[in-house]
Amino acid sequence: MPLYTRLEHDEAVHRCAFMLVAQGYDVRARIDGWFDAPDYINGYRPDIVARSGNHSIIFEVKKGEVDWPKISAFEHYLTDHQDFEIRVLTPEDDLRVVSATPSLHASP
Amino acid sequence: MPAHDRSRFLISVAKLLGKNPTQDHPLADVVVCEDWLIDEIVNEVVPGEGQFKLDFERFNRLMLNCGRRLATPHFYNYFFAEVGSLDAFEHAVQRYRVKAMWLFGNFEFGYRRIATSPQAAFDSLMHETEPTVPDIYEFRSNFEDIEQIPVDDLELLGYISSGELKDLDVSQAFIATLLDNPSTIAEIIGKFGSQKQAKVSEVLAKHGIAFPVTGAEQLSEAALQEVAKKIASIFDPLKARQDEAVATGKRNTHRYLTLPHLDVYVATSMRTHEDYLAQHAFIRSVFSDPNVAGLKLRYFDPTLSYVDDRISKGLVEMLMLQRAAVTIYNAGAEDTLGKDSELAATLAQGKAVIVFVPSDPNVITLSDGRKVNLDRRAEMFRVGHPLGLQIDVRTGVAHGIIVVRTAKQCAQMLRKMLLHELSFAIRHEHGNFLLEETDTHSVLRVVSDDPFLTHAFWTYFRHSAPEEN
Repeated sequence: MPLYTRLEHDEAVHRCAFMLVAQGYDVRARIDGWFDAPDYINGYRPDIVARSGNHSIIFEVKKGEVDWPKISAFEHYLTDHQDFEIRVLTPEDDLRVVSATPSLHASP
Repeated sequence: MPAHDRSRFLISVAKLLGKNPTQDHPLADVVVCEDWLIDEIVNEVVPGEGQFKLDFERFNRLMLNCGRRLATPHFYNYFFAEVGSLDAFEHAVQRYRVKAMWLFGNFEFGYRRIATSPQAAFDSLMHETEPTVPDIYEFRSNFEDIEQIPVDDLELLGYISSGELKDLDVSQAFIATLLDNPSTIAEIIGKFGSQKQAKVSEVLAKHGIAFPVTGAEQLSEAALQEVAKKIASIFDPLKARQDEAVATGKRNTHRYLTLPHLDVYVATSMRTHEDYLAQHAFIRSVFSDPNVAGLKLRYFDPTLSYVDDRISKGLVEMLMLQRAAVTIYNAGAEDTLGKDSELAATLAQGKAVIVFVPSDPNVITLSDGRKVNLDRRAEMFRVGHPLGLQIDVRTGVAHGIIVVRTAKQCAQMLRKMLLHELSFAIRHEHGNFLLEETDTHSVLRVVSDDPFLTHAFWTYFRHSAPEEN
């Protein structure tokens, strides 16, 4: 069973997406009518993909254990795509901190 | 024998056999014997004025000479054993024809199935057409499984209405991000882009909150905090109500999915607050009406069910539609793909649809200013709607819809439908026999006169390609 509701999840995605825009990322997010949706990766669509230069960060806001296959698919994608990284958040995280944390691979 | 009586008898026999009688020789299309023999039988049945003798033996001689199979004794006993006059014979033929149309949408095939089936199969067919006692419904427990949701909160479950709440939440996130970066508001507004700012302005304006369409001149930290406060005062209570409604709607979905019985599916589309209020009032009126309240009907009210995504919701609704015996279609003022599909899917499963078109007020003004005359809309459903007749995909029988104008009438027809108490008349129009429900004048079955169409229809309906070698 999900730990977080769809609504809690969506609110976190909204907040995170704007944070990332404010930080200068080019953002695609699953927010109909507001952002272009990210492309599918290994059959799943990430909540957010933030790109800066040649580097992209997949943000996945976790609802619960139900997200494991999706996150696993993204992690698998990363093994062949060094220009991507993934950050898994929960609606309880301080999104300002999480999204602003400098990437291990590159700085925006 | 008076010629008039003879003609009446032959016309009735032709109708029994599904043939259009001609004046010179009413049975010309069906008789397989020489004319003198049919005359001899007819003279025995109608020997003189006011006399009528149609015993089982004569009935079957008549059928044989008209190229039909022999009828069973139970068929004869059910329809004709008590017939002692020409009037009674005409009445019995009419009774048979109603049942043949209702069950098979076809007189010839109907005769084969009704008149020649073994007793058990015959009884089962007749049972489908006879009034049933309401015990099977009344002995159930009350239908109290589904939790109610405050009527003003119902729309918070709708995808369109919850979309508006989502826009408010997105706008809140937009403002919160600006407030997190008070020293660079203008710069961040620029990064968000003019389209997003204009959209935030539009969303907030709907709730009476001013926000500039372009530029950041008026956006001091204090002004933004005021906007955030106003958004929170609207959004937070709505969000709390939505959370509660969603939780209840999800629990209801699980209950609906596991109900042992489901009698009625209520199809509708809801876009505005008024739609939700009207739908809720309509459902309450129908199912609390004395005509059906005692039947303790299990009905699926889509406004009380919630599923997170549209695909799952669609699957839940299709299952409910498949399980229910009757669909009530609340037509509203406009056709929509969702509820129209549900109407068509119900008919295609060979089940009944009751279409409700409100009678008061009889003219509705849509949000785009168009006016819809509901009297005309009801009439269009009754006589002219392209979806008004659909074939049962398993049997090929064309099924029509019952059109009602009030919740009371809807409850009356729902009861009659479930308890097999509908009454019918057959009328002939534009080359078709129409089985018309007499209270609402709705056409529920049709039989075409056209032998070519009939032959092609049934040939291809039942056709399957030969198996490959």
